[in-house]
Amino acid sequence: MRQVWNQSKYYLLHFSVKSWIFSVAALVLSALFTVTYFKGIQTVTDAVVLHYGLYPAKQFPFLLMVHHLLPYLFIAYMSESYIEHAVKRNAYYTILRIKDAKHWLFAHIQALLIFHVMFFTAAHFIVGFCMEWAFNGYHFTLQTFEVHITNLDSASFKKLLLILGLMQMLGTFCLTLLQLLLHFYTNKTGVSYTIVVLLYVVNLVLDVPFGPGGHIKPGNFDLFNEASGTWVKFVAIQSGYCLVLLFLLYANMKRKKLDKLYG
Amino acid sequence: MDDSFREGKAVELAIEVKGLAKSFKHEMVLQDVNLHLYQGKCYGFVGRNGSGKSVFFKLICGFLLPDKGTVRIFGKELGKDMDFATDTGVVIEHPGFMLDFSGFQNLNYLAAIRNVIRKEQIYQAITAVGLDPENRKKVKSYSVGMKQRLAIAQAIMEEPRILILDEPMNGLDKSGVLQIRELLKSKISEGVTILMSSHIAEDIQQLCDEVFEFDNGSLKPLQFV
Repeated sequence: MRQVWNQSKYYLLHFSVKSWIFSVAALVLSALFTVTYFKGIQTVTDAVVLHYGLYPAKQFPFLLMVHHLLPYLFIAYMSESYIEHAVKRNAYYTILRIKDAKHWLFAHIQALLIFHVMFFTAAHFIVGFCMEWAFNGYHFTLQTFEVHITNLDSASFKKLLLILGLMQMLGTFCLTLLQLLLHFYTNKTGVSYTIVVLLYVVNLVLDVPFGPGGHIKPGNFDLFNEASGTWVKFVAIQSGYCLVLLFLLYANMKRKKLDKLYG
Repeated sequence: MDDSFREGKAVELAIEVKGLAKSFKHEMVLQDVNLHLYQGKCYGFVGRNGSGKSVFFKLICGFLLPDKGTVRIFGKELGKDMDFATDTGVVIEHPGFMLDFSGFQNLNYLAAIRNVIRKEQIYQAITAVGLDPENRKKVKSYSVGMKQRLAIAQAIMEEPRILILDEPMNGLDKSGVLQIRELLKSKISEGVTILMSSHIAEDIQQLCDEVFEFDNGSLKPLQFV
């Protein structure tokens, strides 16, 4: 298992500094967009709620669509680039060093999971920092959220953000696993990325809260209401998707399948 | 005299190939290939483009699954006793080096996977292929020849007993070719088994103990004059 961990560390280096810089820049721009696009923001709470789209909305104008999609597009792009370089082009050199195809896959999945945790931790810190810089106070002033003010203090708002982060991470990781699986089936660059982006767009246009990519509209999960538990259902369903995808990925780790991929 | 005895000493059988066959979409690439490859010898594989050299190497490594036949490496059967070739260094296609790191950093991170060699050995491998391990230049600014040298360094750094080199002299200048030839000669004398393909007749003539030609899916021994 030590070799697997060593291999994961090696794979994590495939996420280049340049792509991290671009991601941070995109996240800052996205936060600044929230600050300037939405009118009437007075507090950090208002800004964060609007930024992540925690309000139930029937439709998103084009600009907001891009705004919501941006971080996920970056993750999907970075994952695609990772698959192309670390999974595909380096396979001959890394498999021979680890010798077991299942350990090799596990190392990749571990690296991708760590990348997702890092990305969303960074994203939440950046958004938090930008909003703190632009606004003060943790209470709702916007008319839209007045109904929730009574039962959402600062502590439970942080808990809400934690739940949101978990949903975002799990939902996105599920799509990354799908991206990896599609790569194993198609072995063509860009196909899995396009499919994942289309899934996100479909989720923005239509309401499919529990489908893959449903986390892009957190407004569907009534996170302000602690008793609702809709998010628990989402986490359970997405975990189920992840397990199915992991099963399918491991089923691919046979020499017969690798033969088709890397032959 | 049996191949397994040289100078009165028993030589270990490194690779045993029996009845190996491989086809892609009904096109037979290899059929009924039988070979005994011994430790400390260099074997050359020649043939026109697409004749099956790379496919043969990938079969030996375990990256491809044969339609028929078996490959044994030091007595262990691929696909039965192990998934992939053990104790083997390869240069097959271009390694996906991390472009933003130096040559040494790339090999250091790659070596950390198995963690069986020290930094000095990585330095030695890089020096042996004619690169400077202290050079902090990023791999993205390397020439084709430098990348090829680095690929050879990653194949030899963990001192494997088998080297599989698909066109190792590709992209190398004249001095590079001479340097790699000397390196491979020293590896052979250390007891490493080398399987290499090359379009350069001189490489094959100078390095290889035996040469095989791929022709219409079969492998024929070739005599050099």
